[in-house]
Amino acid sequence: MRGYVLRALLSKEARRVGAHRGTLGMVLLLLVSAALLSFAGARALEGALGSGSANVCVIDTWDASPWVSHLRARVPPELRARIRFREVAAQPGMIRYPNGAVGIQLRPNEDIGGYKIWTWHPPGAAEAAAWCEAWLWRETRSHFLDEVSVDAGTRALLLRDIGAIDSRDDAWALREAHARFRQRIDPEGTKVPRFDVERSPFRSVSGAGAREAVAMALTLLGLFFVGIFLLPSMTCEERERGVLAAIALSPASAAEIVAARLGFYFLFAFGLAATLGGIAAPLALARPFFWAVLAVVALASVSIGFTVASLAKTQRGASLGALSYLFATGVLLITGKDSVLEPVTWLLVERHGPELLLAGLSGVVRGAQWLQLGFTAALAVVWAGVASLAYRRFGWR
Amino acid sequence: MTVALRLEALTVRYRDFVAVDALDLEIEKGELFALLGPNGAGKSTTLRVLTGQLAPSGGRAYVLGHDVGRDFARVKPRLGYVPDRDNHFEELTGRKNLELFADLYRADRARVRECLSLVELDDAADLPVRGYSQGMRRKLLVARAFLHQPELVYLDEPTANLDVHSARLFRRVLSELARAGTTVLLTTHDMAEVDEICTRVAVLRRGRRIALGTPAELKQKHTQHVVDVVLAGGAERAFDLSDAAARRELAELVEAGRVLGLKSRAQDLEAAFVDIVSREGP
Repeated sequence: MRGYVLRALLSKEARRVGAHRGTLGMVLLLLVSAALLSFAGARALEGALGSGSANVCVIDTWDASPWVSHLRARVPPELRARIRFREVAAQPGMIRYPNGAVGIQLRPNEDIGGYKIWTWHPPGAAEAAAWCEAWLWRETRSHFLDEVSVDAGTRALLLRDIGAIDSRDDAWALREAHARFRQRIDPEGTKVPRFDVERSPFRSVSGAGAREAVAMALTLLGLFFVGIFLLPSMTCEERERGVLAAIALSPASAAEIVAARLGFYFLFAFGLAATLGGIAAPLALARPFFWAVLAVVALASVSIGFTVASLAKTQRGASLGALSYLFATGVLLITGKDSVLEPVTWLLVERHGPELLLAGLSGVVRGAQWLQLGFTAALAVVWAGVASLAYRRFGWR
Repeated sequence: MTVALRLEALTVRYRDFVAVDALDLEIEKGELFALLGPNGAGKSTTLRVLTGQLAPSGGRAYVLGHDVGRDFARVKPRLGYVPDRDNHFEELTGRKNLELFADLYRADRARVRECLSLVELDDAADLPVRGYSQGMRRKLLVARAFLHQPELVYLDEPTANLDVHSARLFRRVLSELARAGTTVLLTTHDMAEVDEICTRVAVLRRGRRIALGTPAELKQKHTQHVVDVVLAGGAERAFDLSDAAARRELAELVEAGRVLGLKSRAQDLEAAFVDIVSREGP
């Protein structure tokens, strides 16, 4: 490796990128997005990300009381695919809910001689559980009304007067409504248990909030834009124009060309991602884990991009190659989850990168994630080797 | 004389198609050598092998004493190459393009200015190449090829798209380079250009060498020695002077005063080239 050759090639890359308006525009857009994110309030972000209704409602139970049995038996056919009961006693440790689900926990509570009904919803989106709660409260009242003798008119009235269930913090209203219901049909309190009612937003396992999630997405976009889109596009443009052949005919060796290109785009991806992450979540810049993750994911993304650039003959081929790669990995990650393909997804940098970046941005790093980082670094090194071989074999001819 | 380039049974195959067929060739240092042939004759394929862009299927190519297939890295800093289509960084200026290659060859900035001046691109040097005409782009290619003062230069149709003045300037530059010891190998379809500046010529057809010699030798050997005669009464006839009977008949007609006009077909390389290629069949 000769310093003057590397300097000349690095300078060439910088001049080309600096003269490319599309690249500058995209970089500016990412930086503005990160700046806007840093000004946006956390609640606004959570609201923006958490709107909509959940597809699934997981009801966690700790006993098999007649009330719980009633609920299990009275799920209407149209909701059977969406309401799932789960025995929590058999699952020690942290209770986890799948993506897109809300949870309702029916926890026996000896302190009050009844139950705590605890609804868990996405941050800023309490309304996501409203449909499930409406069903639960109606069937709960139906069950206890069956236990006492009331006339049909009163029964119908009590079934309608459940209490407001919407996006407001109305747990107190539900609590009061149940207290009134209990007082009315069971003044002695022998048949209708007391209920404490609470609602809470989910907490991410990583400890990251909406801000870190958006910062992670922007950082990842910056890395993939430079490594998997820009690098193949610029490289194949040079090949199509014959400039790559001209460089290859100069004293620059194949190793120097590869090193300069990988080096420049690695530094560009790393610098852009660090800037984006730093603007959106400034505290991340003080965490070595964040820097280590950036380095690993930047190396992986430019190596993948370089492999695409070596295999694709034209600029159009490079764009399609990059798009196909990202699409294929996306499909594999989605379909591979909880299936026989799951071990294969472990070989994808895209599986580990987002998790590790999120940990780096939020500062909540579990011990196993250092191991995961090491594994991802090994994947990045393998990709760098593949890129180098592919370039030597197909790169500029 | 020192041999600058030697091809030994060089062969290039694309599946069943033989693009270069056991080509033997030797070019001496300081020669200005032209590789001629109709389209698809194998000229550009040969240049692609010589510039390391294509591995030969058989045979050897030695350039400046090194086997191109095995030791190209040692050869390429000593080569200059003008490809058949321009390959510049479009978004950069002409000067920046040259400066990049000057840095790679460790040539100084003064040499960049010299080369820009050599091809008369001084005024447009600081404009982006995307605004250049085809002729200006070719001039920039030539400037780039000469930046590092190479010992051997390959030129693939170097004067295509150049105006008459620039083409003439370019031929003068090539001749001066050759006189200074630089070996030049060019491919072109411009026979006047070859006739004017080249010391030797090889003609290829279907990947095989079918003629080799100086332009004068080829003209001598392959041009018809014919005169066109206008006879009294307006009739026109052609006499082949290589035929003794035709020579006698023409002399008699002249003696009899029946020849009103007589014009010799000038020896030209284009006619020789057509003759060489047509003798090989369609």
